[in-house]
Amino acid sequence: MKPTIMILSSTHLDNPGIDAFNLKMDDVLTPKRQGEIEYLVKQLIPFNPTKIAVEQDPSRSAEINNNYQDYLNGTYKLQRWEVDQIGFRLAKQVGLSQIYCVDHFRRDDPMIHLDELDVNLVDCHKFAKEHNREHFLPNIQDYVDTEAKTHQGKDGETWIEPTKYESLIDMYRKLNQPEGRRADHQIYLQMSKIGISDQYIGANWVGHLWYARNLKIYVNLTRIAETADDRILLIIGAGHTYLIQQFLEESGDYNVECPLKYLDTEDVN
Amino acid sequence: MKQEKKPTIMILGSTLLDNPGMDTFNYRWDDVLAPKRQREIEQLVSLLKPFHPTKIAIQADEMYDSEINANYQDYLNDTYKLQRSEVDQIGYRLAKQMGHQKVYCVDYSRRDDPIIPLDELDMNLIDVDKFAMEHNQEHLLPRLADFSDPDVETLEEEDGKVWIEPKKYESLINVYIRSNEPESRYADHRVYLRIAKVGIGDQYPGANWVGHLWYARNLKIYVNLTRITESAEDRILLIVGAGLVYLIKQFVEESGDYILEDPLKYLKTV
Repeated sequence: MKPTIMILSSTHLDNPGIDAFNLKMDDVLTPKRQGEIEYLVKQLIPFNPTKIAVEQDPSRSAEINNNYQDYLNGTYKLQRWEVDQIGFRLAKQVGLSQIYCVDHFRRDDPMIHLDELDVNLVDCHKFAKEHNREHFLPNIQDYVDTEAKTHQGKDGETWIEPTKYESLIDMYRKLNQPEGRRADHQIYLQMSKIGISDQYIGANWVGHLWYARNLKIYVNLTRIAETADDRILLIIGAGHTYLIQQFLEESGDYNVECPLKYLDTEDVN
Repeated sequence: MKQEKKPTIMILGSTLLDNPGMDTFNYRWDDVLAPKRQREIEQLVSLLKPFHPTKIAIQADEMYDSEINANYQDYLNDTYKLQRSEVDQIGYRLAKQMGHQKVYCVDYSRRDDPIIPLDELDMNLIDVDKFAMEHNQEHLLPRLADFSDPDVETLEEEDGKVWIEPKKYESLINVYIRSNEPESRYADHRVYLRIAKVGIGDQYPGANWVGHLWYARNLKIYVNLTRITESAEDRILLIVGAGLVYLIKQFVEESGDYILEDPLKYLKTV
């Protein structure tokens, strides 16, 4: 008997715009979206999670768990992001006393200290533009179908705006299709190639930042998997799903469940 | 849609024929220069020829390229005696028989890597063995059972290095067939996911080592393979330590850019 882990691929419901390509969500606090989120959460209850893990560094655990305690006590208003909207709601409904922060995202990581690092060693965009390697960079076609509208944000990030209304449950069903997750991952293998001779800008970024971070998320999950009865739900940005799931499966130590088993498209209304 | 033609890669998992003893667990070869072993190597090389490699890539850092190719040129000119290593015994032999002008060094192994300069690094950050011993996590370390079959004897040296010696004579082809079984490649890789767990709290020596050293190195080998790929007609044979096969193959597969061939298709007992 092994512990069970299920990874729910999520979009960032509060539009933080932290990725190169970002799906623009309308306001998830509107009554219609709130109804959809409650429906999504209800669909996840039968997984019977014993722990819920979210994409936040452990350094934020105290703050997030304070909020969660206040939410349990009825004194906290859920914010727009998926940690609150899906994580807190589901955790409360299945009677969990805390939320687990399993990301690894530290500028002062002792192996690769971002504030001291020569950023030229990992700046894929700059190197690709200067050396005619743009074809290895992620491009908009990797992320959207032909119908979506896009625009540039102020920091150069791209916003993808849906052209028609899609219910959250449909969105999450789509986000959790294995083919889409594999396609996301393929982009990283393309980016890895950016470089020339002894310069490995792409592999530096993908290896030391992307793989290393996801490997530590895997390790953090294994640390909270205490017994074979544990059933852990990880809620995380969809781009991470492929690698974390790969590490879990390759370890041979966990049952990995697929969220599509729980998400159905029954009409919300 | 027209099927796009892709270059082909085949990865031959190898043991280190010259017993360098670089790993914690090492397979011990008898002398591969003995006539019987030499015949077996020639057999192995002739079995690999039908793959029709256009390039042969080996596990050596690019900084050794001029030395390795100078030796290869001398070998082509009959003024170099093949050493025991698999680079010479399999790589040079096959490259010559295929009429190649050079061999390709695709490993990445530099102490002065600009991201992780090993000589400046606090080794406690990656010393998995030490951390595991001091924190009761020895069960996460590689162990003999991960690497050996029942039919071997083992010999542990004072520094902890373990030699795995076969009890009975096994032909080289059989060793290579065994080393290239997908099950044994996965079993090797699985050990790294276990080592990655070594650590407590905000200390991640296991994940530091596995992520920043092991994965990063294998990823650069994949990148180097993509850099020597010039056309869809290329058929690259990579000869590499068996422990590296799983990850490099995974990267090549996931990139979607190559056709991968399995060496077991070519290796047959005779």
